[in-house]
Amino acid sequence: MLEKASGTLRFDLVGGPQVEHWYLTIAHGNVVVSQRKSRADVVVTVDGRLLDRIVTGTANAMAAFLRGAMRVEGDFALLIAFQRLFGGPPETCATRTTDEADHSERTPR
Amino acid sequence: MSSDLVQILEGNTFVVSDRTGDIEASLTDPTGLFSFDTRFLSKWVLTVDGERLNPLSVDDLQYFETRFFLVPGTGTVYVDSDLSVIRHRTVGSGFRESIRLLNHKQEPVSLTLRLDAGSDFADLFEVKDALRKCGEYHTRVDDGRLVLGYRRETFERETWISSSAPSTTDEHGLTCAVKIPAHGTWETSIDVVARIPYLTEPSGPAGRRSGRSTRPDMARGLDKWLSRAPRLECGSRSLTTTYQRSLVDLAALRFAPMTSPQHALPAAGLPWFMTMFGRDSILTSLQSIAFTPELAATTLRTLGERQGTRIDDFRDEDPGRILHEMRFGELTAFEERPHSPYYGSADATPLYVVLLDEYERWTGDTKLVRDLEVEARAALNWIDTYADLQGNGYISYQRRNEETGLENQCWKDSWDSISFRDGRLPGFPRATCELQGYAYDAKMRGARLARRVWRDEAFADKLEKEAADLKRRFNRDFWVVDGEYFAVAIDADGRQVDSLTSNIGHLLWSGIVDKSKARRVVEHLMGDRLFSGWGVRTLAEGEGRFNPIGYHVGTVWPFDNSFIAWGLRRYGFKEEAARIAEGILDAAAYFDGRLPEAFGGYPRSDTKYPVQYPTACSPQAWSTGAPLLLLRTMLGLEPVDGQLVVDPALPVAIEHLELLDIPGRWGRRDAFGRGQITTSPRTRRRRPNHR
Repeated sequence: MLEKASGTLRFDLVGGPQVEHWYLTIAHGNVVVSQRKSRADVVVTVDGRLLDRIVTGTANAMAAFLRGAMRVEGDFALLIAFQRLFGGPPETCATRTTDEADHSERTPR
Repeated sequence: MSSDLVQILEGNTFVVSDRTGDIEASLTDPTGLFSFDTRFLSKWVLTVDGERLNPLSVDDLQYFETRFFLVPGTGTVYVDSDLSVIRHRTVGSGFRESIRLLNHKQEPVSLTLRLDAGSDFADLFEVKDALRKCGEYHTRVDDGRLVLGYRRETFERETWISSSAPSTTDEHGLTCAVKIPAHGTWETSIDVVARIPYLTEPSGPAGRRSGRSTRPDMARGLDKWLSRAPRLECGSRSLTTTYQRSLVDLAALRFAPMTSPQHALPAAGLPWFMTMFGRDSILTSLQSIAFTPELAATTLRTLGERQGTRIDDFRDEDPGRILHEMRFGELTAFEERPHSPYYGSADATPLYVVLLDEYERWTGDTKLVRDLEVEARAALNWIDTYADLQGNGYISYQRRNEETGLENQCWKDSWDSISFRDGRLPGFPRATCELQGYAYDAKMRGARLARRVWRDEAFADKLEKEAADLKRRFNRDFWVVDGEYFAVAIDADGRQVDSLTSNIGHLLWSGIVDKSKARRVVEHLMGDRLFSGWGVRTLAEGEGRFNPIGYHVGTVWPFDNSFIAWGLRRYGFKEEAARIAEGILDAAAYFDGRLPEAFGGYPRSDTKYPVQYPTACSPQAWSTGAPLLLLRTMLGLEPVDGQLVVDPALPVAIEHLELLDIPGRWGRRDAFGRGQITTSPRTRRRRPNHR
């Protein structure tokens, strides 16, 4: 998945005293995060706390986008790829059933 | 869809109105302007001098435009009007409505034209389930434009309404003071734009739709689509009509995903299911692959982009799983429904690999197969790692989202579709038989792709070994000895769910049936308990839950039958495949070429015509695709070693059939066949009058 999606997402984090800019570059299966200014293929404006929840799997990026809590300008495919980088919510049946040997590999990554 | 309603659409934007063009929806009433699963207009009423209008006729011009001929006054028997009103509506990212008033008097007239507008901004799920809204409404008049709006936290949806002719705008609509000379006309054009911030704006992912109510290239796009498809020449007028109808309906069912707005994949059904569905999009792409292979390419790419990557119980998501359904409305946006997307489908994932291989065999597009190698491997991995819920080597399903997830994750998704002979329902997890067939086929086809395209001999060997093992176990564990057919499922206790169903036909398509068992399976499919004369019933007559008008427990589904016919051909049962094709295509003639989702499972000799199952969704993608797949099976079209093989087996009633310019890795090829199969007397009953 990451090998196909390549490009730079700029996150403009709002909700704090000032807007923070973070750059996330996906290239050849690697992900690099930096604050150094560069060209972006897509600009994502989002509350920093909501982004935390997306990254930890407790909120969904597509849903956030649909309710206008996350604004996306540019290459939408990169946002879909970004959403898929993260694990699922911590409370899942899979984590609860890890005692079943057959399903031990189902623990979220 | 009730026949006194008029519907037009473009992508996931559609308008459902009454026959005057008016909309007066209640929360549960399915009329309105809808876009991205939200209702943007629930009221749209045209009056002239305070009077409602009366419909004379409705012209359904194209799937995206319609014209209403109206006169003032309602409810009278005798209409003799000095005024005609023509509403011409075209849908795009909203709609444009041209309203023309024709004065038939010898003197000028002054009139007041009024359009009342309002919106409840209901989510499609709310229209179905009558839920209440949490947000707040607002209305404003902005530079002559009426703006209806709804807001819940950051969620915003607006309807912008403006008129080309001068009008007075208030918060409930537009009023035009109209003066028309003797025998003159007056005209205005009203634009209604469904506006979603950051989505339909120019920089948003659906930005091509922005700010305009319609796209100028829609009619041209349809002509181009039709001219690219293979040409059908045959003696049967009804078959020609059915083929044309299928192509036009398939065009209407195209849906452009946000990630590649210039490409399209088949949505599931019109209008309520104009969205991506893993199962429906894949099966329809398979049915239409000999005709419009580009749909398969977009389906594969788009579903691949959204393939599951994690464990998420709310969405029933697993790594490698192919999505079930995507939605864009308020309940999805607030995670009150899991459709962002929802993954609760047990068949879409193996079918994804099946489609990838079938696509390559037809088109030779190895680049796409290389591009999607990771996705295909993840899908194959899902089968053994995540779908084997019972640890018995079979795909089973059981939802983890017990509130809003789907109970039945196979195509027969109604509550009572999977039952024992005596009518009892099995518990969960359930391993339905066709899922095992799809898994077998996915492994075999995955092996072929691994060997030919990914150059991974070891992986290919492993998949083939697993497939052979699955086939051996399946033919042992699912075979109902006293009935000599395959059980519809294995339940949570390892018992065979022993009713006789159409699912055994899908097993032939997948190739999982031992040769030695195939004849018995075919005898069941074509026997009186399953075959109605029109097609194979979902559940056999005589089973506890059999009901000829029960959704999955006795009706005949055209889509189901098209795959059964393909399966019959796979095992060499050409005549039986031709009988099914004839029955379903005969039925299509009774519906002007547009097959319904399902029709009654009454014996053909009893009803003379197929009894439509009442359903809210028409056309439906896989019913639209059924005649296409049946044409393929009758002509015996198969890509073999890069060439198109034609092996026709047509019922005599068709006489001759030519399909010209079939696209594929061979460029374009023609296929030709003559009707030579004499079907049984029962299916040669009186044919419908061709309209």
